[in-house]
Amino acid sequence: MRLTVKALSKSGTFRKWATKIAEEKAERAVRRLAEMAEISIKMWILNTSKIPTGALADAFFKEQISKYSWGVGNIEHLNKTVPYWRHVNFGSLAISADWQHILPKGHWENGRWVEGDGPDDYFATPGSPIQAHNYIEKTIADMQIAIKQVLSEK
Amino acid sequence: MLAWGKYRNLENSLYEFLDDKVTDDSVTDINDVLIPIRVGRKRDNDWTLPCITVYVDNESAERSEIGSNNRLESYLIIIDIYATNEGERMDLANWLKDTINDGFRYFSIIPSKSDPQNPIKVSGGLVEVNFLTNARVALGQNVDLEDSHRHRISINTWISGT
Repeated sequence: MRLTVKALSKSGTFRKWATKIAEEKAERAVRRLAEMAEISIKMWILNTSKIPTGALADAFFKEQISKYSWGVGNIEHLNKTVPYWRHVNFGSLAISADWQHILPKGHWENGRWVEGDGPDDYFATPGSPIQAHNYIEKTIADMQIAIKQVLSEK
Repeated sequence: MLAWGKYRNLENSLYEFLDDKVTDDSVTDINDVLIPIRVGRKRDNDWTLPCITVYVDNESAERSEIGSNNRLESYLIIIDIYATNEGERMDLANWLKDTINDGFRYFSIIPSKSDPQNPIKVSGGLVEVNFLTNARVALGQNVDLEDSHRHRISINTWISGT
């Protein structure tokens, strides 16, 4: 038996149509992956923090770089708004570069260090290191599964 | 007594593998002292530089098939290098990457009441390794000595075979 397939569309139309579908699918996939990465990193930050304020989690958001490229965690923005982001992820004995192991002047209030310059405020030296939360590595591990999921979505 | 779970077995298997390799490859500091491998997050004051710390951080367990309760378990392992200078950091990172690249043997540990120092070790499958990150940990300048020359390698691992 011989089977012949003939394209009814004009030459090149099918190719254009297939390319359009592939492009739309790729756009959807990268946007979806960015959304999943944002959710994952926020979730890990909040879940691994003892008293989460949301400031660090809020500093991570997805942003489109080009048509098929998205990013989560703009380093310039992170350094400006939450300069301690590396210390929380990797763990550290000091919270910032020029800090020399002393907290800014302030006092403890409900488990938080509140900066101030009142008569009860003082310079404190932290007694214990910051434990590594590894939220970046956890998110990358999550993304290994997410990529498979998104690529298998119809 | 309960046998050790997978996390502890994995940590211990990696610890023993690296500890043996440190001796085999003569991985020493500038004073010819073998680089110690520590299990856990850096927190003990008696830990000295340089050292390498390993610990299992997290587990992912996606379904292997739709409707199946069989899981594809993978384990996130964090390996931190605490070096005393940049050269040492880079050399240790390079050695570590090459050493764990081919994976390592998984051992189940069953504690022995009669001989606690010598638990029963049962050889399991091969722990396969997928590198997630491999980079210097930059925490800024003028940081504490422990934070000055750090490197982190994070790996996703899974146990294959029996």
